[in-house]
Parts: sequence; C-alpha cells; structure tokens
Amino acid sequence: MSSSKSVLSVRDLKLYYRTRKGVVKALEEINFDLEKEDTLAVVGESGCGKSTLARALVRVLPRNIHTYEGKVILEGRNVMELNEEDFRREIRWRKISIVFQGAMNSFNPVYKIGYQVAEPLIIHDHLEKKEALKRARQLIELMGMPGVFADRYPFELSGGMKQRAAIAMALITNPEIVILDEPTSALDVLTQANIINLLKKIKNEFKLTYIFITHDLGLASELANRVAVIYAGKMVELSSADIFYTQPKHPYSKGLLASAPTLSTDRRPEFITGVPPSLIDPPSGCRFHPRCRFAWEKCSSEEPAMFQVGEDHLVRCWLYGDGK
Amino acid sequence: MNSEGRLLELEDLRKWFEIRRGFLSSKVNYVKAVDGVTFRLDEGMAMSLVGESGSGKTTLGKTIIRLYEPNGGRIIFQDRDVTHLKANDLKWYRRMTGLVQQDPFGAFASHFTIFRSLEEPLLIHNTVKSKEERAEKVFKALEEVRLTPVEDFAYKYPHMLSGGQLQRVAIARAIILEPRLLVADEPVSMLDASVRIEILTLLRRLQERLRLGVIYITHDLATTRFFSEWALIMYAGHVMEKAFTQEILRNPLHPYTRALLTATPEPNPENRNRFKQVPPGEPPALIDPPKSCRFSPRCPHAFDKCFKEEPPEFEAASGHWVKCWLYERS
Repeated sequence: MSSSKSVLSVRDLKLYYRTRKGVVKALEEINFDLEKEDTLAVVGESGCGKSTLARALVRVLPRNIHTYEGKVILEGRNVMELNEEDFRREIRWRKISIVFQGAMNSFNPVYKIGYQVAEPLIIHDHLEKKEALKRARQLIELMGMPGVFADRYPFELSGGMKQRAAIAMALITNPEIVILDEPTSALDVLTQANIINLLKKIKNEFKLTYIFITHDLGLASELANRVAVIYAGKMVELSSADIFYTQPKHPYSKGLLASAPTLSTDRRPEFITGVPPSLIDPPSGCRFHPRCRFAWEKCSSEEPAMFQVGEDHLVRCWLYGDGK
Repeated sequence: MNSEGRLLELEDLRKWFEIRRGFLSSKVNYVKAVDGVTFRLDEGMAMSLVGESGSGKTTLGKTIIRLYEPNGGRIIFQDRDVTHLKANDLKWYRRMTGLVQQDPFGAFASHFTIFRSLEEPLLIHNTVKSKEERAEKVFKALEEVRLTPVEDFAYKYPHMLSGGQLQRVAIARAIILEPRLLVADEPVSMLDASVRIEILTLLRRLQERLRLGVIYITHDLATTRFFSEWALIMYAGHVMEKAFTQEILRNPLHPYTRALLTATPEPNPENRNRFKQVPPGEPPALIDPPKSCRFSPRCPHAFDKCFKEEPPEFEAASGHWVKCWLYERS
C-alpha cells in the first residue's frame, strides 16, 4: 500500500494502560492509511478500543499510560515525535480535531455557545475575541442553526442543536481530519438523520477527511467509504465499504453484520455468543477464537496476521491465511 | 373477541405532570406526557411502543404498571379496573406486572449478591415462606434467563457481570413473581448490537413460553419486527399509528411513521451517496403542545385543517389506526 497520496498513515500504533489489575492492552498493531476525503468507519463492540484509537490520534489520553508507540504520519511527518507543546500548537485542532462522544453534554454551562465554539480560534490562532465570535456565528449558521443561538447558553439548546455546536467547535480551525466519536449516540432517530445529512454536507463543502467511530453498522454506512473492524484492541478487517458490506470475510465482521436488524429485508437478526475478552489477559492466538464458530487448533495457538484477500481488503483470520 | 385471553385495556389514558412556576404559586401548568392512549393487549402478545425521547413512551409504560397514577382514562387488567388501586390491591397488581429498565448497571444494589437481589421481591411479597423454596425460585429464574450454571452467577456481585448478563438478571427479577405482564423499557439500548439481539430473543422466548403480555418500549423501529405482534407509534404524548407490527413496517401510513422508517439507518454501502429526506425540527414542548395535530409543524403533508383541529384515530384499514387528517373518509 502506498502512502504517497495519504493524508494520514498509522503504523503499528500500540497503546497500553496501566491499572491496578495489570496492563490493559488497549490497542495493538493498528495500521491504516487515509486518503483525502476518505471516511474511515471504525466499528466494533464497546470496550474493543474504538474510542481509545480516537483519543490516541489526537493525543488526549489519561495519565495511566503504560506504552504509547508507533507512527502516526500526517502529511508525511511522524507526529508521534513531537513533544506535547508542539503537538498542541501544530496538530491538535489545527490538523486533526475531534467531536467527542457525548460532546453535547460537555459544554460549560456558564459560557455562551458562541464563545465556546470560538474558543479554539482565540487559543490557537490568537484571534481577537470579536473576530472569533463573528466567525463562530457564521459557522453556527452553516450548521443549520439560527445565528442568534450563538448568544444562548447550553441549557437553552436541544440535544441536536448542541451536537451541531459541538461539530462547529471541531471545524472552526479548519482541520483536515475530523474524528467523530459516536457523534449521534444520544440523539433521536430523526435528529440523528439530520446530523448525518449535515456531516455529509460539510464534508463535501470543506473537503474533510473523517474518522467515524461507531458501534452501529447501519449508521457507519451512511458516511464511510472505508471500514475498519476492531476486536479486542486489534484490527481484524480493513477494506472499502463496498466490499465490507457485501462480502465481509472475518467471522466477527459477519457476526456484527448479521446482528444488525434491518427493515428492508426479511433476514432475522442473529447474535454472536459470548462476550469480548479482558484486555489484561487476552486469549492466546486469535483473540476472537473463543467466540468463533470456525475456530480450530491453530486459532488458539498462533496469532494470525492481516492477510491480503483482495485488492484493498485485509483480514486477520487463519481461514484466509497461508495460501488459502 | 371475548374477554378470555384479554390481558390489558387502556381507555383514553392520560398522565399529566403538574408544574408550578414559583414557590406557592397557584398557577398550575401541565406537562401532557401521555394524552389519550387507547389500546388492547391480549395474553401472550407483545406490543412495541415506539417513539423518540420525550414522546411519552416511558411515562406510558410506568403508568400502565401503576408506578404513576393516571389523571384520566382507565386501565383494565384481566377485567379488573386498576386505574386507581390502593394499598393491598396495588400490591397484588405489582405482583402481576414486572419492569425491566434501560440501565442494567444502575438496576442493582452493589452490595447485594445476585441471589439477594432476586430474593428481594419474594421477601417483600412473601409469596413463598421457606428459605429453601425461595432459593429454588431464584435458581429457576436464573435458569429461565439462561444464566447457567446458576450457582456460578447467584453468588456474584453486580460489578462482576457484563451488561448483557446484568440485563438477564433484571429480567429474572421481573419474572420471579410470575407476573402476567412485563414492561421492558428500552431493555437493550445500552447494550452492544450483538448482545441486543440475544436479549431480545430471550425475552421473546419467555413471552411465548410463559404466555406473558409484553410491552416493549423502544426508539428503534428495526427491532420491533421480530419481537412484537403489535406496534404503536407515539409522538409528543399521542398515539399516531397502531397496527400489527408487520403491517406498520410494510404499509406505514402516518407521515411521522414514514419519517421514522426513512431515518432508521440500515447497513448499505450506497447510503453514503445520498441524503435522507427527513423532516427538520424537533418535537414540541409538552407543556403547551399544538392544539391541533402535534406533528403538524414538521409534517411535509400538512394542510389547513392539520393546524386547526386535532385529528381523531381513523381506521384506515382493518385493524390499522392512524391519527392523521389525510385518512379522513370523505
């Protein structure tokens, strides 16, 4: 895979947390490339490391880090080598911003929405407050909200409106890449559809690259042209959305797709038995083998690599390895 | 149909919450959370209550099992009027109904073992006298929800179980008094997609085996299909449409139902190339909702009458009711 055209390349990203019970292997061997205007959906069950990946990319991490290594190459430059101050000044919000999960509930209740949206401009671009507020108001209008909402306090806005404001906050510094961590999780179905429409619109307008973290495969397909499936801290499948939704290969991906209820087909949803493993002491071999219908001896003894099964299609599963 | 097999009937049920502006103020406003709901549920049947947050679906669920006392209308349970039951009669009704709530992690006392949590309803209602019988009931309930081997789970504490397992315990607790009606309020919305189907399948099997009436409250239309016979679509305290679940999904009539169906995401890689046609705006405040159709401010098909008068429920097709002026017979 070439990384010449890519805006973001991640190589062997690894992140361990230190806890009282032991070291949590939250992320291992994460590799992917993103081209401009790609949307990579990162899907998986809760606790598989999706949000950790989001936070690792913008380096917003808790203090109990045990290991944090690998390469994150942004426009040809490995930003993992930057110190915290340079990263803050040059990368976070300037190049990559993030809409955190539950962002709409993390507004400061005593500041007006407009000021909070403008704040990154004041901090990162040292803009005059007045100018920053003006830009914030423009962006708020672009988000489909009345401009006067800039003068309101968070409690005066509905969930959908606050989420729009949170998106505005992530866009105000004109970043290349926006990470969306479950951006619609607490919203109603109609509001969710409206927010997704908005995200599509601004992606086209600003030529954005998205990393879309979600557990909802249906929702993922609304934005993604690429899909990465994460299970127990490791990527198990990576491909284009067109391939993933029509010919998923990994048994876990198949299980996830089969568990998504649909309205348009008569397919009865199924479920994957068992629960994801502890990341302190993950299973030997393939981490999915205890829940896998197709597992044989090799799966529990040896860990599969990411095997190439087609153009732009990688799967971490012995079913597709070793000449198969 | 005769009253055999008839489990629950609601007639024009209302639950309004009082709010007062200011201390000692005599001016009273109401939040009309449930405003005129009528339906019937037979034994062994499941009904989905579908709606967005603030539609009144949870309030309706809680009113049905009489955690709230209605302000108007009637609740008939097994031919008995339970609308305003008091004291011992209410305690009887508590035994006949069970509740599973959304958040399994907040549903248990953290210092109680699973066994102790499940024993609690038996102690309160004193339905079985001896300790041995109680233990037997607890183990049987755990078996019903497939938490086996039961001895492994019974003496664990809530923090040692996953969300899906805890929700099974919550179901076990809800059925341990052998109720006839179970209200499941968003029982899977906090669980992972793969576990959701597992829990819903379990609920469905229990419903069929124990001939339970189930009220399944959800915001997710896609899950109603295989898990309920009937569906009822709520919006801003009103029932907008009710029919067989299959009928509603195949032939949605109310513009709101149609919007919900359009907005529900489905896995399809072509989705990214198109925008969804969904009505803008948000549901009205229930303190002072529109006097006319409550969906009219957002409805793409609204005409004069919709802004003036509240529509009654029209039977647009046999057994398919819709509260919308578009279906008024001319």
